[in-house]
Amino acid sequence: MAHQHRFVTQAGTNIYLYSGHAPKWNGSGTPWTDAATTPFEIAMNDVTGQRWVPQEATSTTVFAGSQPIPRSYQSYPNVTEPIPIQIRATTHDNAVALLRLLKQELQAVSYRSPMLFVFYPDGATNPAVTEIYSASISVNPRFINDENSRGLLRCTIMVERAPLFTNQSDVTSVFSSTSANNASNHALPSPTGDLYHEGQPLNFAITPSNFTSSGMSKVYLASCKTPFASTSQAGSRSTGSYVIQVNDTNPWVNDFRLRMRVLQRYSAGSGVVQLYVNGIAYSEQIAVSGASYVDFGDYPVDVLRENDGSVQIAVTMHVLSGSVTLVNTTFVPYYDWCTIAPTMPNLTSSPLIVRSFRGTSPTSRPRLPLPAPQAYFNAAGVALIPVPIIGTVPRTYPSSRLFIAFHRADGTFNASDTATLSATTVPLFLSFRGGV
Amino acid sequence: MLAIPFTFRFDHLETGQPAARDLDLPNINGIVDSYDHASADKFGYESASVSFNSSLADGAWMLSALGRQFTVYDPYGIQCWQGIIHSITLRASGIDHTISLEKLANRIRVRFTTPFGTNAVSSTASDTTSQARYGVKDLVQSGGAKTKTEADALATRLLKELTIPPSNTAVAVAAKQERETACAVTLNCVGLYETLAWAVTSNTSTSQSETTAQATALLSATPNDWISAGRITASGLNASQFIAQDTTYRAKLEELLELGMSDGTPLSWGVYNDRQLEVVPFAGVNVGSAPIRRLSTSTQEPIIRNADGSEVLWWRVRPNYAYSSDLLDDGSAKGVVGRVSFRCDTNGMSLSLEGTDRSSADALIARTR
Repeated sequence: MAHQHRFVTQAGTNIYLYSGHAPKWNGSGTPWTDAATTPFEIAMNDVTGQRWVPQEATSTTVFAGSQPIPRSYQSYPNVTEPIPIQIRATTHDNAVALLRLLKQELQAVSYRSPMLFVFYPDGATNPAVTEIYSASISVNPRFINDENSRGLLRCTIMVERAPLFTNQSDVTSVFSSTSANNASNHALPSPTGDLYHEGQPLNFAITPSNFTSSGMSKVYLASCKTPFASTSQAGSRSTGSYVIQVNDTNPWVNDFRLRMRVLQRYSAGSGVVQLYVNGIAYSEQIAVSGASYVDFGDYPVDVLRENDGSVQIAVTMHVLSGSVTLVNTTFVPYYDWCTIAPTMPNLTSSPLIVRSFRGTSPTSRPRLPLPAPQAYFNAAGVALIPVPIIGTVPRTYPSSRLFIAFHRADGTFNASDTATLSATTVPLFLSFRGGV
Repeated sequence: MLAIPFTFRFDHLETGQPAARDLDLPNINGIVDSYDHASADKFGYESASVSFNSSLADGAWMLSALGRQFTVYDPYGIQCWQGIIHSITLRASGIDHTISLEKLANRIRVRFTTPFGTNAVSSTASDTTSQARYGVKDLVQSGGAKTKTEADALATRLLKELTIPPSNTAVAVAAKQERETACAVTLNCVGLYETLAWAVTSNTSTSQSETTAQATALLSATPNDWISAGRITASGLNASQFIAQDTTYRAKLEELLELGMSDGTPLSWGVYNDRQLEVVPFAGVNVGSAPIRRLSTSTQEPIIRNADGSEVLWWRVRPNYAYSSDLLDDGSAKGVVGRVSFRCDTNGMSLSLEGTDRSSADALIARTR
């Protein structure tokens, strides 16, 4: 039979919406739980009122920018849309009883207790699922009186739902217990949903491998293009200025979503370092101590975008005090960057879980993006320990890579440390899912 | 949810606690409705506020955030504001409940005049538990004519009154009240520079030393040693180390830095990221050669750029820069910004740049979207 859309209540009860002329309910049983017998139908009759028009989420642009620096921050607000419904029963009283059922279920919907909406057009391979956060019903006054014993009521359900659809339980494995060297990068799959160029969310599980005795702290995660490192000015550097120059592959010339991150790896010494570009101090003064891998923040690439061909990057490293031993400087052209800084690092062999979409929740909940990303340690026998996330959890983009770097619990960086990396992603849709 | 996904983090500042432990407060990331911050010349990060709705239980739980360090990160993980939570307001069911550090005092002395007409000071009444929780906040009270015993008693009484942050509850009775389960929470924050006014000090030495070196020494001398020296431009100017009794660390620091540099160049200062004090030359002395930022309004949105053309994101804009605008003919610097106000809510964001109080410059840009 044809596919049917449906609501799924918090209790897991299905309320199917027939596409076409629904059978009439005779007052007994619960036929709405079966797609073939449900008395609720999507109203697609122009004579009796407006047809249902599935709405797509429209992005809200917060900051448009313009050439040559087109910055755009956009988000997808919740969608409010009307769903016209017809109710068919053998009698008017039975139709009212069905209307009451709908009211009871829909009016109880809230952000804390959402209802699922399964969008499954006829002919589609897969359904798309989203959440309804509020709903109200209004009855079409043309059908208040039962004419000619038709037992027909027409009403409109005004719903506020999540802007995006996804699948219900399937996730795509990105990495499955992959061994990740420290400060390494790994190919990410291209997104498969509607947000192909906007980034598809990722969940991670990161477990220290060869340094389980000391746990893990300060993890850097980024979705990026291939980073490049320079050993320019490597060695012991005392108070003074040192220019680090490198010819880069300028991936950001055509991809305005990319920013540039600069990190420096030190093997010894202690001091205060600040990085300058074009005579402007763009990083803070950062205290460096021992073997470490320090994030100096964004490198301004806007001017570089206006140059064609190979471009030379120049960063001036100011050692303001002390003496540090520089190993290399890494430039990461990134889309998304986050720093995860566990506040209780002395956990061993515990995977660090990072979630940007709903993970292992019950299968009745769609795997939609979380309002805010979550990170926590999941040690056996210990209550979940939440961990702060700073920045944006990496999303996968076309031809992108995942950059990962981590420090030990004592704050030191060891290039030979490895971690086991697992990651999953889920496609997001603005409406139709089709065969994806 | 904010239009721009900032990340908000709470940490402890009190002594004896881990440097960062924000596991014991509700996670407000993802539920904040509005965020604004301000930075100012001669202050640094000045103020910030965050508003969100929560359950009554979580709202009550948030009250324990008073005095916590509050740090804001932008979507790229870069710190863009830092300070402490100075007051918290809960609003639910017509009741406003505010708790604040404004009148807190946990180290109190009373200066009095003895029956013999001599000036004296009481014993110090001190609550170390409150100090460990919120930091040391001094109060020097004038006691008038008293005996030592009376002055000590006054100090002790004041301590009991003021050592716990006072709260204020106002009830607005309306004709129709609806019972709400949600609670509107507002966290009001001040920059850490403000905490330099919490403790007092004195120094009888009249020796001379460099002003910026003295300022750096003051940072480590204060009982609330939360601020460290960052980018400090040596003034080359010596001044007396004398500090009158009951002078706040902030007052002495400002007295020193107001003297400027040995060549007469005024200084600009403030506490910014990672609780570091910056002291640099004031950009307004020689505007033509000052660090300049250009305000480009010819594009779809006003964009602020450094001199090399790189963009400065609105929430990273700071005072003590010379700003110029594409609207002006020659593009030369026209004024120095003394105060920056940024706001972000669910619909968008706005930025306001004000001239310094050292000049009569009006607002260079005030745009609300």
